[in-house]
Amino acid sequence: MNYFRFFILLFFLLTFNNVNSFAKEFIGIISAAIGNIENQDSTKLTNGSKIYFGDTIIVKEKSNAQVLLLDETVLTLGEDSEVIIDEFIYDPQSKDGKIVSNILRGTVKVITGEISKKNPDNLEITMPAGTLGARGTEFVVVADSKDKSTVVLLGPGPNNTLGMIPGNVEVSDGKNTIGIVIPGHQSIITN
Amino acid sequence: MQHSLLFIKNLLKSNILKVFLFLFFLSSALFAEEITFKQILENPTDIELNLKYAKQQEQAGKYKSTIATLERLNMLYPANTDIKIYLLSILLKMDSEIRVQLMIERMLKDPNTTDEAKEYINKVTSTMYAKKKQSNWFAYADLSLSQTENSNIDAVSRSSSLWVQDQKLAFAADSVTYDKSMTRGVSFTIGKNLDNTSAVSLNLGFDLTTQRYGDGDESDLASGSISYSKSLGKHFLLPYVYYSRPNNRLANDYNSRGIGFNNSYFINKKNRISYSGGYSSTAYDNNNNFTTANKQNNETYSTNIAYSYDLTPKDNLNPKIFYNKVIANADYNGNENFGLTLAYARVLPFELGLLRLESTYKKKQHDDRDSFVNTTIGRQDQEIIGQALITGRLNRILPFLKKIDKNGSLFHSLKYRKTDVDSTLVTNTVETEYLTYKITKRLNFNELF
Repeated sequence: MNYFRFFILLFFLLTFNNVNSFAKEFIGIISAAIGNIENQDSTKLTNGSKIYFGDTIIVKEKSNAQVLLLDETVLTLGEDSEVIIDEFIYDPQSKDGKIVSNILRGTVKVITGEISKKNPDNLEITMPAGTLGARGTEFVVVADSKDKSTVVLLGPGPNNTLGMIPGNVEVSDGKNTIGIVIPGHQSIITN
Repeated sequence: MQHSLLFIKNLLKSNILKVFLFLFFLSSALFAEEITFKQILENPTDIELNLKYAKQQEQAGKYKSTIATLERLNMLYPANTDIKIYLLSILLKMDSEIRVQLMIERMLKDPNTTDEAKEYINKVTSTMYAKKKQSNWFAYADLSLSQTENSNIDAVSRSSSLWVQDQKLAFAADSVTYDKSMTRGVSFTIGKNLDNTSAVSLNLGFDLTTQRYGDGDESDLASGSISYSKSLGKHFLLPYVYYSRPNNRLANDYNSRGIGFNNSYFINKKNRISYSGGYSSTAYDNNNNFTTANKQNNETYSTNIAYSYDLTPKDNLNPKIFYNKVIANADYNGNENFGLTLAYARVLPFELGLLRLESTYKKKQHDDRDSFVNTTIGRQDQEIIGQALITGRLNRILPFLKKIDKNGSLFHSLKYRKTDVDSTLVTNTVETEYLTYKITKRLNFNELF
């Protein structure tokens, strides 16, 4: 009987341990934290704090932060911003993976990383109004309100001397899709 | 001691030491520590390490990584002007005007910016102003290829008979029913955004149509239009003028010119009312083959009003009523027609495109009897038109095209249309089906301006 209890206890310990390790999957770091940055548990995030799968990063007023994900995707969050990494799968060997990030509010600049480089379709950003996909580039999302989001394509211009290939962003409101191909151009999505 | 000094002197003279020293420096260069991304994850704030990493990434051509690193250092060490200058130099090489401007504005406001840095900024600013101002002009060309299958290209009546001078005759035996026609088209649009709410554009087009079996519908068509668009509060107004000149291989030629407007009033997010009006004048060419072609000359007045309602964000309902009046040189060519169109549009899942289903009922009353056809029966038609259209980006239905068509500028449309005309004259009681597949490639020339 004691053996039986021991195995039941062991089973639960292992099970909970697995769930915990799944929920605490390390996906990146807070590479710069200026001001007041917190996660969903109101834990203060500082320079070098680890980011785990499913974490919400909340940047308070007069604060900003940079998030470095394992595939070298970089998110720069302006003040009063909130982002959730809904999905992050990455194999550093093959560079395969998928990122789904949800920008809940605020201003977020994104520099795409290895996942997008390997397969642009595997980077998806959802915004309060609409979604976007990006191909090898840098862009800013301004989630103005629940009904309005603005996307500005940054990235290299046509006269860049670095041999960089201009990327593009496809923005969708669920009904129509618009491609932004010229740096500096923007698209405003409303619900 | 003397022995030791002599030994060193001899060693310096010898090639062995030279080779050793060369190998030492070479190995130092070869095995210089390469900073890994893992090290950066572990030390994101280490200024020395991260600056070296930024430099290494720059040398490796990984500029995005360089920018991200420098931006991080700039956030962490805002008083360090050298980092700002380094980042600015990369952004300049990157030709990212919008970011350069933002950075310059911030640097000029920053009390930590040194005089040396300000001098550098002045140089950058003057170089940028020397560049041409961003143009408000836009231009693009559409290259299209379409094929239409027509079940009744010679408009043979349902009873295969026709009235000629009060006599009911059979259609000619060589009349063509099924045929295919192919149209190659090119159109060029150039325009200018006058301000944030208005734009003007010029469009020029040329279409060449050839037929597979017959040649009755073969033609080329030159056309042009000028339009102006203006957003005024909840109104979106679009007045336009146009000119078209078909050159038919067999049928008589004509030219048509017109003027019109369309206005959409956005009641709210889901409801919209659109109305339009137009006037056109068509003049046929009289020549040895067509001595009475000018009897078809006409002036057309057209108007319609439509209501658009979004059932859901992906479903739209669009009823429309229309009225047209055609005043022709010969009254029997003039007519009055009106009707109702019901349209339903749905955005297909997975961004496959748009499906539009449309049904139209049209009634047409000709102004007079055509004595060449029938002296006693006037022409009155009732027409039912059904149409289904799927349109979208080609790379959405053929994903492998994403490699070629990266910016999604290749469009397709598949249209099925059936017209069923019931007329008081057997000649015009005609049923026809059309199936058209069209591919369009858009070439964007905005970067030329």
